[in-house]
Amino acid sequence: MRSSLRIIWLLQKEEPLAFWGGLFLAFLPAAAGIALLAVSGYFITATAIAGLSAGAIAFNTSSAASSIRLYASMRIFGRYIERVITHDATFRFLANLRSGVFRGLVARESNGTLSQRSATALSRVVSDVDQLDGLFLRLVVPLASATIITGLTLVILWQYSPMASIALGAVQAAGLTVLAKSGGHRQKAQARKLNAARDALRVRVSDLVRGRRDLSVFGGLEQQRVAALKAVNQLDDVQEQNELTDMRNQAVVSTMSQVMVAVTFLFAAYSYQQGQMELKHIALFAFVALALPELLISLANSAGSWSKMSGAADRVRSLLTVGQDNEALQNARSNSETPSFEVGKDALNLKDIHFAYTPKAAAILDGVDLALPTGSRTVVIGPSGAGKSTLAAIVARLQTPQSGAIQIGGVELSGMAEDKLRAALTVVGQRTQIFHSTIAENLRVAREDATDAELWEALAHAGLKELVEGRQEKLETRLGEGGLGLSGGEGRRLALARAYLRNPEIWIADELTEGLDHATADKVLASFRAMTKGKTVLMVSHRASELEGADRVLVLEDGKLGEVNLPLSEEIKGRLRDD
Amino acid sequence: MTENLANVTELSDADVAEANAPAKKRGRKKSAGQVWLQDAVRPEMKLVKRGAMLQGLSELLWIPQAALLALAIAGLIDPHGPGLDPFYATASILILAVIRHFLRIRGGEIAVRAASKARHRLETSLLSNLTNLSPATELPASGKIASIAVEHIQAIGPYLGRFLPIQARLSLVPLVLIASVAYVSWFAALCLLIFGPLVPVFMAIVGIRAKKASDRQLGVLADMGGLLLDRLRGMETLRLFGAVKRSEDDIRKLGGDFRTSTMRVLRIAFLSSTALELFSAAAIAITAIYVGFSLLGDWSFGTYGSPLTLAGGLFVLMIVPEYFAPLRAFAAAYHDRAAGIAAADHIVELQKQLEDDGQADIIGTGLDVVPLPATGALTIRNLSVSRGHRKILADVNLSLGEPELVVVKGPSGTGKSTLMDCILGFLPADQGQIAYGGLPLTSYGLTNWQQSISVLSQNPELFHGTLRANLRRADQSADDATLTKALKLAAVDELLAKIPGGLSGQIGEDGKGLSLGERRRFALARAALREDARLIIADEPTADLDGATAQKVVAALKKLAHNKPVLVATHDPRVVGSADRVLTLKEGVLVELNEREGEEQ
Repeated sequence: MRSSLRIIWLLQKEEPLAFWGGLFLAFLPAAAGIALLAVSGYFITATAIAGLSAGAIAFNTSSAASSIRLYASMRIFGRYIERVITHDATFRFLANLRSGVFRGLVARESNGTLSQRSATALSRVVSDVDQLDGLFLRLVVPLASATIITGLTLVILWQYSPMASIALGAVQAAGLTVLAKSGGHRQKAQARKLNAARDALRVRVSDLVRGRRDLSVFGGLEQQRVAALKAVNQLDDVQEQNELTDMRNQAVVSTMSQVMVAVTFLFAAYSYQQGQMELKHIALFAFVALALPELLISLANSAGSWSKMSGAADRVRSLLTVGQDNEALQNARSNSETPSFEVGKDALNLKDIHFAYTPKAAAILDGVDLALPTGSRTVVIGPSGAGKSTLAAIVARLQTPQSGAIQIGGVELSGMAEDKLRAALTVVGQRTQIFHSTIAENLRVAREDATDAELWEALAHAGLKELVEGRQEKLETRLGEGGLGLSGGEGRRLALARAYLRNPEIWIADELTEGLDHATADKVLASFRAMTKGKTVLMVSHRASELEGADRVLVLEDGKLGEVNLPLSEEIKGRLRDD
Repeated sequence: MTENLANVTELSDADVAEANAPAKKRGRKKSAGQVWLQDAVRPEMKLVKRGAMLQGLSELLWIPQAALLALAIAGLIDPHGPGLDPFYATASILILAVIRHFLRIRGGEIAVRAASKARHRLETSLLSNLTNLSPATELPASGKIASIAVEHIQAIGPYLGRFLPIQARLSLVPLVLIASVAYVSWFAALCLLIFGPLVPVFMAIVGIRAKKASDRQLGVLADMGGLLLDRLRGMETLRLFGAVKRSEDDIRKLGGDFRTSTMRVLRIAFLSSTALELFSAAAIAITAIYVGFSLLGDWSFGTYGSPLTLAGGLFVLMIVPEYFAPLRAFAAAYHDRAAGIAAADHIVELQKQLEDDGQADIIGTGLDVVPLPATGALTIRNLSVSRGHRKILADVNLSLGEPELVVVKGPSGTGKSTLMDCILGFLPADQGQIAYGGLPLTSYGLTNWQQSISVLSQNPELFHGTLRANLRRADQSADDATLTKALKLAAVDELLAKIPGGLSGQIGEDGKGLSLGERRRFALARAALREDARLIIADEPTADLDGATAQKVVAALKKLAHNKPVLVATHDPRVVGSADRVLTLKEGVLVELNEREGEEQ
């Protein structure tokens, strides 16, 4: 709830005009709708009384008729303008929120607190933001106008009959309470259950589909079906409960409106019989009572999604906070010194690095020391799972070690400004992401202002020029789904072309040829060597072919780095695969 | 956002016109999903209609309530005319309100429960279809199927439980309300008769334009979600190249584009609800003015002889808003229909695929299964398999009985995996026979046969749960000591230290946290655990493993081959080098090489 308020407050701050204007405009047509019915009822009764007294009282029909017209048109056009303005403001706000959430997720990833990277978790975040549009449109706007109009109506009607007004207000308040309760705590637990059941079913079904082969041999197919069925039952149960709650809410609002009409009329009639109210106002009360609950209908329709929204607001808000913290950290770093790379000094220096994934887990790196002189080429080998890629990630500040000191070009890594670090060092390897956009955009990830000529040069150095030239759209060829699919080797080359555009002093190659066949691997390696001539290079590998041209080979075993003599002994060669 | 997009189409579809004015049937073709959906929910339709009837009845009880109230008010104003005691009128209205509430809830419950039943039935049948399918069937991505089970089938609930009852009510309730107004004044009834159908006509005109705009807009929405997900997946790359800030701007800019195009649609779509407001407000205003001037005596038409009474006028004015209420409800629930039909389209697509590719039992599951002999030999005779027009295996002969390591080599795509699938009983043979212990596999039953062999797939799956539970899938009775032994055999025991919690550690979705090589080694341990397996099959067991680890895996396979036949599909020379027997599969033909050394690379 607090998160929801916080996010609404943010919206108010970012779009004050649309926020307050939208609320005001929402109030107008809703009030006009009630006024229309009330005046119509009043008009009929007054004319009837005038008709009964056979023209004795001059009744101003034209003014009543014209206010009916006024309220009717206010209702029609006010509603339209209000919806346009509030929707526009909401989408504007969501666009900003989305980039804030992105910033938060990146920050979480960079400080290692992003617990899940699976596609399911990421798409949950995407849909969280989308959920929040309802916060303003379906909760704040109707709730605010319902409260204000009810209050205002009571104030106006008070002068005719305080007793009937109290009856009116009491029933409306009761209706609001019922809705708030159904959208409250119990719902929140329900929403959690729904999410859990959904996730369980999703995991079970994808396990069932992907693992059909293994399951049918190892006899878990039926078990898996039963487990999925259990999740189905739970999901259907919660879903049914939700739908029933929604349906009951709507029934409550409808019944409440009848109760309100009856009770208000009774009190109005009593007031009249006590001589406390004029006759012609009786219908006024009846028709206001008829129209007032309409304000709650849209609230009743959205009550079921309040808890979903508030859950989404919690998650989004915590991401926004992380994003802001990270921004503060980046600002603190921004004044760091610029690394300098001089021959004869260390471009990269690691001292006593300790790293484990969790405090309990075994150490992956257990006191690693490493110094890379500027312009040197070093290869780190070791069995898979020894922590080679972790070492590369730590140097690139993608992972943070538990202890130890890292210097790049003489500057402490932990305090180095992000842009200075990224200009000095880059990583190429197996984990490079190809984005679903054009080749040019994929390359300009590395340097936004690169000219087309520079892009072509980078492609040529990476050995991709022919491929791209062969495409009709050249640099504008789209990559990814529905576009050009790149093979593993081509993807690796694109990563090289990106890094070339960046042209840093330190190059880290993380299993550069992993998963590539022999011939392709050789070509990628050749491109890499040509690009990195004279630079400081750290390669992490388990292939003999990547060792060529190395000044130094180190082996990472049991969390420690050890020197290996060159040329390599047969024993080491045997441990490196090359097929 | 989806809900908002649904709001875009909320009133914007020409179907609103179809629903309210059945005479004006448009010659629109129904989508495959729509046809399927009608069929799929047929068993529940009766219940849904019953629920709708109860709810409709509840809505119609407003007529006596309004009449009571109108009479009571009129009685106070004109003590000489027809009237009712205010207290009795209130009491009767409250009693009717209780009855209405009960009817409405009861009707709603029937409809919602019917919808839940339909949903459950569809989910269950999807799950059984998936279970009964041959594992060799090509299926869409698992994520896609999961979202059909989780989201699409669920979307049918609101369609059936909420939208359909409203639609059913729409064809009855307004007509009865008009009839009740006509009882008092034919003029007021005429107004409603004209204004009512005008609403859907205007909505339809607006709707056609909005739909055009929203078709364009759907592309932007897909881009929006896609871009964010794409950039999130590539966070690390973006950070490496210092492009995070720029991506934020991209996301904000696309959000802006999305807003612009959505608003273009909404500005048109909101017109349709404006039409609803226009006609309902106009109807109220005209009725009020007509009734007012009639009561003043200025106008005297629209009734049957006697002039309009105050009670009659109040009654008419109270019915008018209720007349437009079902239309409002229909509009509000309209996105349930759109979502339901869109979901049905997805489901139909999957179902078609299941029907096209799905095969009946390949190996009999009948009652007359024979128990599997403890030992025997697997013999394949004249096996031919084709897929579509392509012949994959041609006249393959093979016999496996002695404990030995047999390698089938050949470039990828030559049918190694197909051969494995046939032995596993995943694929049927066009010709020829696979037998064990002299009897064809069919005599043992599919499940029995599969439980008597062990397999290491090329892309093995570890399932959501603990490592222990995953391993025990091969042998439910295995204790921790046995498990540790198997892990040692698969050269994976040192990896155990890396998993927090060891054997009790959780392995997530997709074997999260483990590389393919690590997953494969755990799967090898699992395969080794099945000690009474008659045969072990391994598909490319060393792909993507480094030298030292690959050696360990080969050693483990060799060790397993000491007491049972192990059949390995591979092109890794180190596995081929350790084989007792090497067969080459080339263009579907299996050739045995006696001079193994000559073939080594």
